[in-house]
Amino acid sequence: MGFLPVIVMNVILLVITILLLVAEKLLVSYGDCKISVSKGDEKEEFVVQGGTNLLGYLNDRGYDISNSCGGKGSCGYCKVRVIEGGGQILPTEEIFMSRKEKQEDMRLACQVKVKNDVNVVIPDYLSVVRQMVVSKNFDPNKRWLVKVH
Amino acid sequence: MGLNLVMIFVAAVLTENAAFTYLLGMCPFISLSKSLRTASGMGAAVIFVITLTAIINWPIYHLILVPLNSELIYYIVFIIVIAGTVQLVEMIMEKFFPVLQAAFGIFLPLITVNCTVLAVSLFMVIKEYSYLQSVIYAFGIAVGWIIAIVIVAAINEKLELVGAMPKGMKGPGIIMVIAGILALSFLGFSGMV
Repeated sequence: MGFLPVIVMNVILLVITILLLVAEKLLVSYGDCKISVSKGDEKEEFVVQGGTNLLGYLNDRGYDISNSCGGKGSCGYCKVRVIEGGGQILPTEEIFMSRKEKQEDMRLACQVKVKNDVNVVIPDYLSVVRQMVVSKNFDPNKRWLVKVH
Repeated sequence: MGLNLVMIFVAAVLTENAAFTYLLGMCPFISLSKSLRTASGMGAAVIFVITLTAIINWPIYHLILVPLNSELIYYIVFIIVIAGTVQLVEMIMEKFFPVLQAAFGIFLPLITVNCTVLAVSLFMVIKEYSYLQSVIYAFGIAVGWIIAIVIVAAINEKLELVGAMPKGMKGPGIIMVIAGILALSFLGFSGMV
């Protein structure tokens, strides 16, 4: 039998890889997109290459968006409000969202791919909790909600 | 010939049901059968990918691997072809059919790791089916899988409404129980074809 199967497998692998690379070059190009990020009173704008994952990009930019699954869409912690440009909410996100959150355009950042200009509001959970602790209002047994503006 | 194809299809859907008889694709089956909408979305994507990969894998096996005496590596080749096909289909859909892509959403990449897809390609080789038979068989297996996941999801949704379920049974626990009872009921189809 010899090396023939190995050569055949490598040729098939090579053909598929070339096909995928060509397809990626021809099909997956969204151009430059603008991301407007608001967190509390801060506002920033970035220009990114289309197709970027929102969670990955925002974390790279130093925004603290909590997640424990590394962007796999299974923990449901990376909730941000995508006011425009996020597209429809995906079925994988729906199980983590209440009806109210859906109405407020909340999305899981890990499931949002930047395909056009996006306007994002990041809930400032950390400073809200910090404020609660400082003012001694924080009760870990109590369920609390943060209003996202 | 026509009757033979119908029998292959019915056997694939009922008597050889991928989920209930072979227990294939259990990971997405358990995790995605919580809501009917998610289950039907995944099921539709599975039908699409399984049929497509059977269409591609049959000629690769019979026209490339067999003439070159390389049948030994068909497992690896099928896996590579499935992964590549799913990636390619995702790109094409994203560009030309964004509505369909939005409907399938995250399910397409998930299917790459659904063992039913690989199993169908392997079974069509083992059973020595012709091209048309392979395609019908693949479509039947996929239809059987969607029927299974949709039934379980629908029962699970109704049970959620009852709300009197013990806490420990919620989620995967009750899905396994439902799937077990349904698998027993699907045994009733055995010997039909």
